[in-house]
Amino acid sequence: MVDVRRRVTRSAEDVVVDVVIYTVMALICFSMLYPFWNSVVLSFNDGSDAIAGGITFWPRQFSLENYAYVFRDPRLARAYGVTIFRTLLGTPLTIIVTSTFAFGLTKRNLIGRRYYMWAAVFTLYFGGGLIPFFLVVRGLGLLDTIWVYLFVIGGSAALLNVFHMIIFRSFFMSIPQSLEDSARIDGAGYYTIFYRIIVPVSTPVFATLTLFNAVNHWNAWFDGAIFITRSNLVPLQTLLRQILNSNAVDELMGELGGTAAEELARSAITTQTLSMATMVFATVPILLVYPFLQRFFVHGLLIGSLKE
Amino acid sequence: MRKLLIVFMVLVVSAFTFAGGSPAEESTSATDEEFVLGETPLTFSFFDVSDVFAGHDYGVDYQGEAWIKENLLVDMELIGSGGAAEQKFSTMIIDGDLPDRLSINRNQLPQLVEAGLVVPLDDYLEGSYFLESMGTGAIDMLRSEDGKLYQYPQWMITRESGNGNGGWLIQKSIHDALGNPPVETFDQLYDYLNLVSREYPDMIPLAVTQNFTGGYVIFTGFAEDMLYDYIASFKAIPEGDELTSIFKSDVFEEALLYTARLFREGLIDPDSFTINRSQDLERLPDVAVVASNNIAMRGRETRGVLQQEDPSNDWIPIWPIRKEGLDPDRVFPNSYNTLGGRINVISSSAENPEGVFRFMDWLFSPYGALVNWFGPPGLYWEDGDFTPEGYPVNFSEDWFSDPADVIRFVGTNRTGIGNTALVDGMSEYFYSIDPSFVNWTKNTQITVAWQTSKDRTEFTNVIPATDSDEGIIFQEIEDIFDEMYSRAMFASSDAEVLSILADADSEADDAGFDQLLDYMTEIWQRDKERLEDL
Repeated sequence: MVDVRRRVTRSAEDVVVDVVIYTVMALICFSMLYPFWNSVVLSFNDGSDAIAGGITFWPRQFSLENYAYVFRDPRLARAYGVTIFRTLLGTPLTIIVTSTFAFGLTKRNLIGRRYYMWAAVFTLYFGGGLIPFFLVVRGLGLLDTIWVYLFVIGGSAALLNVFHMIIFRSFFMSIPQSLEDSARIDGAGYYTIFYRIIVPVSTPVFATLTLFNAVNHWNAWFDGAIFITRSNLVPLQTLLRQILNSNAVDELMGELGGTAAEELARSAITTQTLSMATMVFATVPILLVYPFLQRFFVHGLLIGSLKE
Repeated sequence: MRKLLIVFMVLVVSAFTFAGGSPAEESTSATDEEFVLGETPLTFSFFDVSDVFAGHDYGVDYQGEAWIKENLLVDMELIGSGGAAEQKFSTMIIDGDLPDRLSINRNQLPQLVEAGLVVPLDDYLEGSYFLESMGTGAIDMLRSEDGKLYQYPQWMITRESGNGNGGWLIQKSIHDALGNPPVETFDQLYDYLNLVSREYPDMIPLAVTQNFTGGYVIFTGFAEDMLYDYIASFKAIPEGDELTSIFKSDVFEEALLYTARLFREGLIDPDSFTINRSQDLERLPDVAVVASNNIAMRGRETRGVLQQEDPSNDWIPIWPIRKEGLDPDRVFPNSYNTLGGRINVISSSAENPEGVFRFMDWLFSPYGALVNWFGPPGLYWEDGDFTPEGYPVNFSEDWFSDPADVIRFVGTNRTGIGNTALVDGMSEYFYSIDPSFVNWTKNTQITVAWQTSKDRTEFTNVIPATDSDEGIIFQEIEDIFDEMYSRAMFASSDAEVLSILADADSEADDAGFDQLLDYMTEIWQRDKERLEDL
């Protein structure tokens, strides 16, 4: 028997092409990773020194001052808690609402199906603006409460994300009807069908959109800025932005000192390095979560390639 | 079936509309007892539209604040917006529930007054530092349309000389290496820049810094008493008692031709229109001469780089460069407004408006200024013994040797009110005792910038509100000017510059500049009279 799996011979051309491809890929990866690495490096660098420019792969004048400035704020722990709370609770909530809404819309015998779809898609194109949005949230009594992060349809971390809903719906519609029909024959109702058949089959989509929503919740700052006034319920990103802004005044104050002050330490904390430090501080946790969900993405890429 | 559905939907939507909630209740602001600062505890909320004050909790990190909290029994609830200040402000207005004290821009006041959201301050003026230092004439200038006073300006100046940060810098080592030629007039500047570009082809001869502010500084040197604001803000120049179009001004034409010529010949940094702050600072060490509306900050931030390479190098602030034959004491790249820029207002939902006013007044007083900027008594200065201006006689020299990162936490972060005269005066007071006490920035300001700053208080209200007819014309004029200015820089000859200027002139006339100028002149003359009535 001829061994079919014999090694494919590689010509010189193959090798050259490989080298080129690898090089190009490496360069592209580097160009994406380097800016982030540079930001991390800058965040650990003394501020006044950083202004001179020229800092590339390693801090030139190591300093933890920028992080110290961030950590000084006692409200930080609470803000972190708020963000974790809204991410842990808000993400599943959004996923459940969005996916069930999408599932409902796949059923042709749903009354008003067209209307719901139209209403949802309409909001993708048109919005009322900030003031009407604010008035609705106020009318719902959500101002200054932690629930404003979870139960608002709008903004970056919406309870019903129309875009995701459309993705869910498309995917659900691609699931063979026969699966559902056989479950129906066995006496399953809609809930059972959804949770026991549809969801397990759609894991890639669920995982992907869960991550998207989690990231949205993690990064959201605008709702915290606008809807929270009196209570101490701002999320992490909002607080970090605030800290960054107020550094400008501190720089002015520090300027009042005398000559020796200048020589000793032109401020180690400048807006540039401080913003790097806040960015690293805010991004690292979500970066750490990402690898665990990595495997779902690979599967997710195979969406559409499954045939009956 | 379909009809039923429609009816149902309409009902659902209307239910949500009517559940929208009632407008916020107007809270009554009545205090029964007499308020005495320091004895009656006071808590109020504070929001600032520039969003710089809410980074930390009040009284926690800053020693001045801790002292105020303990001794004056004042606590502030700081409302921040994490970067979305303008939007947050709009939503708060809609909500009708404003924080007790607000720091806003002057042109945001009229809408608040109209909506009845702010409290007049007239009742509290009696005996206040505010009235005492500024006088009734200046206060009258601050009154709103209905004749009442609603604003307490953020930064005021109660003395003859003002503040400022702009002017010219020269890099010392380059100047020395080229033989220290005089750089006092524009002709000398031109020669010097050419010399630099010949001897040091890798350097940028003249930097006008971000947004081309140096070009405006150049303009102020072309005639006596030319305010920076004429070109940077008003786009109008006074002739006699009237404000006239800048496009028609001979002085401006001359300045424009000169600046365009420098730019055309490659003597000005060609990227000046597009650089951002960090790019601006990064290239400064390669610049021989700097013209900017903020040389103090730029010099401070980049001196270190200069000295890393050559410890004897430095930025030298020079007296403003001017046209041949002008009186050097009447050239003003800087201007100041005794009435400040932004303002504080007290909202009608404040529980204790008088208390808030008294506290703001205290911050404005000499003693308050000291605590704000130099920390509580006993730390760097001693209570009890003061010079006639209000500076402490006994102060610690540690102030000059402690590092900047300690100094920044000594006073407060939540000022929002101040008398520049006192703060700047303190620096001059230190300088008079020993010039080495003062750092480079203050030195620059004291020796050059503050002395070349002109009072522009009479022009405070000259810029029209954005939503008025004149305001719309004003925005158009600004756009015409900006376009004209950048095009002129890239023109290829003097003749082309002149034709660009002439085009802009007729465009401005078509846009209704005359009407705008009449309005601005009226306001200016009215306020000028009020100030003279003082």
